[in-house]
Amino acid sequence: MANKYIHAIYDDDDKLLDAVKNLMNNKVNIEEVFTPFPVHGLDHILDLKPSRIAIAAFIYGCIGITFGLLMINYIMIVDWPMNIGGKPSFSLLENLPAFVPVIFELTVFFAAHLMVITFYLRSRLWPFKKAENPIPETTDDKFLIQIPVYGNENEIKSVLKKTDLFEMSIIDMKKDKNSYDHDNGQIKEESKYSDITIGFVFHSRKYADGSSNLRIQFTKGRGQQYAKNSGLRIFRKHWISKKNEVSDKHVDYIKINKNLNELKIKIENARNSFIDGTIDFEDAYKSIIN
Amino acid sequence: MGSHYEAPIREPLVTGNKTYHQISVDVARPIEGAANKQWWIVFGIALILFLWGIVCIIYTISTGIGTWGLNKTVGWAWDITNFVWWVGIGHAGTLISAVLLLFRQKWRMGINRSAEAMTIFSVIQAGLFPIIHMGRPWLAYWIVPIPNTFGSLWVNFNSPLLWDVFAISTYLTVSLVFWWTGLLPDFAMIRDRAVKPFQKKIYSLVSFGWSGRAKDWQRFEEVSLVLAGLATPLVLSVHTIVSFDFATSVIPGWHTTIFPPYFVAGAIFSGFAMVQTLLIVMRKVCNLEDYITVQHIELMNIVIMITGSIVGCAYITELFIAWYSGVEYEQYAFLNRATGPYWWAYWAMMTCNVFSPQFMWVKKLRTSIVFSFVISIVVNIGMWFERFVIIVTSLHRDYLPSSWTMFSPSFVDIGIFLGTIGFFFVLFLLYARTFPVIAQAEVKTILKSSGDNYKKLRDKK
Repeated sequence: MANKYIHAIYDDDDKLLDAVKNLMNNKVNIEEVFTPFPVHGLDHILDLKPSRIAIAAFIYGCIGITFGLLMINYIMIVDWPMNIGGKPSFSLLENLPAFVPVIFELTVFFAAHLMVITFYLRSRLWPFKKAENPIPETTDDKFLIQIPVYGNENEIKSVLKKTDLFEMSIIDMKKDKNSYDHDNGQIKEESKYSDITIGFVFHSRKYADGSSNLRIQFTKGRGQQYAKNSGLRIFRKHWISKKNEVSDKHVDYIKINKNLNELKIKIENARNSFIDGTIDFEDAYKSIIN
Repeated sequence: MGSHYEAPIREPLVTGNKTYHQISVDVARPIEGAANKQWWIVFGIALILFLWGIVCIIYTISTGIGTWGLNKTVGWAWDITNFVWWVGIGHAGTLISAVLLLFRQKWRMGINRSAEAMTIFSVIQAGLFPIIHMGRPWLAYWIVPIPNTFGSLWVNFNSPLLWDVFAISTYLTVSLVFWWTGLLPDFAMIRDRAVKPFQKKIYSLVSFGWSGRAKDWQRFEEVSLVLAGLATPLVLSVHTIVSFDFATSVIPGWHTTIFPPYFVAGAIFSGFAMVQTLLIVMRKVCNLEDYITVQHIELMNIVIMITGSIVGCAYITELFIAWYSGVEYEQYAFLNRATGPYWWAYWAMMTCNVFSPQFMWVKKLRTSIVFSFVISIVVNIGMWFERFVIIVTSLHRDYLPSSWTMFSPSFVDIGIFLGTIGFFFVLFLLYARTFPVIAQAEVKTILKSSGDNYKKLRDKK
């Protein structure tokens, strides 16, 4: 396992396909690609071997049909043959038509369930299993290529920079298992995926007059997330999310925006001192709320 | 964009200029938001019905099947009618997700999740009836072939009632894993958006740690395809076997060879009607009009019209064959259905199932949401009467005229039926608030080929 990874993030499936083609042509080793939906043709470009799960399902079906035949033969013919309405009770073959429905159902039962169990085990999916997508957005609308770095960082970067990147980040496992060390100078000014994210969200519940509480949300890495009321109660329809302020249609908009600006300064200070390492996540969170 | 081409003549399946992110937001909205008043009112009514059903079931089990309206002649009535009705409704889900997947029908993606949920919930209702009809439901496990300690008697594999046990349980469990496997990526999307720690925990648990690796998706698609291939004959076999409960008997009006295809067509017919009923309400309440468009409703109406016509053909064929067979008992059974004391049930069935879907030939009517909703309810009523007519009218005129009788349901019969309707809606309403009701990962795959914004972009070129 490499100690350092490059995460190349794309915001479109076609851009991802082009990038993967590009990387494969340049013989860059791609460890994993995370996508929010099955991207058609990706497995061919990645040279993934075809899945053998259908063959497994066929074998499971054969097991099911054999099990059904043996079970019914034992129960109805061998162990306790009964004369039911004059049906041929001593011969499996002659009585087979009446056994077809159950044998068929057992074939389907075995094939379907064992195949799904095989799929869950092979893809390591079960309850309490921790998700392994590096950023949560890969289940929404981002596509991520994970490339291990073995001293060839600059070569990989030069290939990636030719592709239609959304963002790129370097993960150094030695430093911190979960921290992102950003190298975005030439790619983008600021990363959306910095280690700490502080932003504004609305509380889902509305007051009777239609306004909602504005909350400040803190996110660190994947796991930690807090939201606290900012003390402001505003109408959602007047919120301009790009500017993080309310429009002039809102009553008291001057006062609210003034308060918001104070908050933003606090947030900026806390974020900076967190990135510098002077305070930890808890302190950053407290410094804004209190 | 070559690989995303779709004929311009096809109507867009996703409207409203969606982006991938917008799809996530729209699907997550009902889960992340709070329930409104209407939801609580409907949920409350469903819960009351459900609880009343439980009271009636407890009364049945503690007192006995004598609390029902059954008598010596009519030994099967509301319970089996309700059982077949619910199983039939449970056929649309797998049909939509499996058969339409094999036929590469993209429009299934807006509706398959809810149709499958409906399948599972209605098969649960269906399963209740045979179990409580046993009288001693705590011995229900006697229907499985276990090496028994009660003597050397096994279950009878010649009996269609045992075939039913295998068919229904296979159908329920396979539908469940099919549904859940499809849900994993969508649960993962909700998990990765979740803000509240409790929500995050729950969706992490149910998403089984889905991460969306390229290899996982490759397997996922193959598993979906093979499951669809397995579920297609399965769904046809289940109602075939349910029809065998009647067709293999010697009761005039029951032992007809047309039953399997006729029951399967009827099941698809009633299943689509129930999907229509539920989705017309859900698309409005959950703001999903961009994903469940009028085109989806129209296509479902066409399926309802075709399967309704197949059912109509089967009714007429039955009548013809009864006459043509020359068997007077058979002839009487059908004459009695149409003109006997239960004529009103027969004509209710004919009107609801054969005549009403014919309105769907008119484009204006099949694209009308209100009209589609009304017809979907009418069809569900009609399909309930179909099973009632087949079961009760065939039984109530026994071989001996001295045994001739009528059936009237007791309040317990009615209570249990209403209880299952309540239970069904309790499950469905909870589902609508906690599950991603649109298969968002699948819808994202067709966005570039069938989204209105992408289609317009291509048309301009």
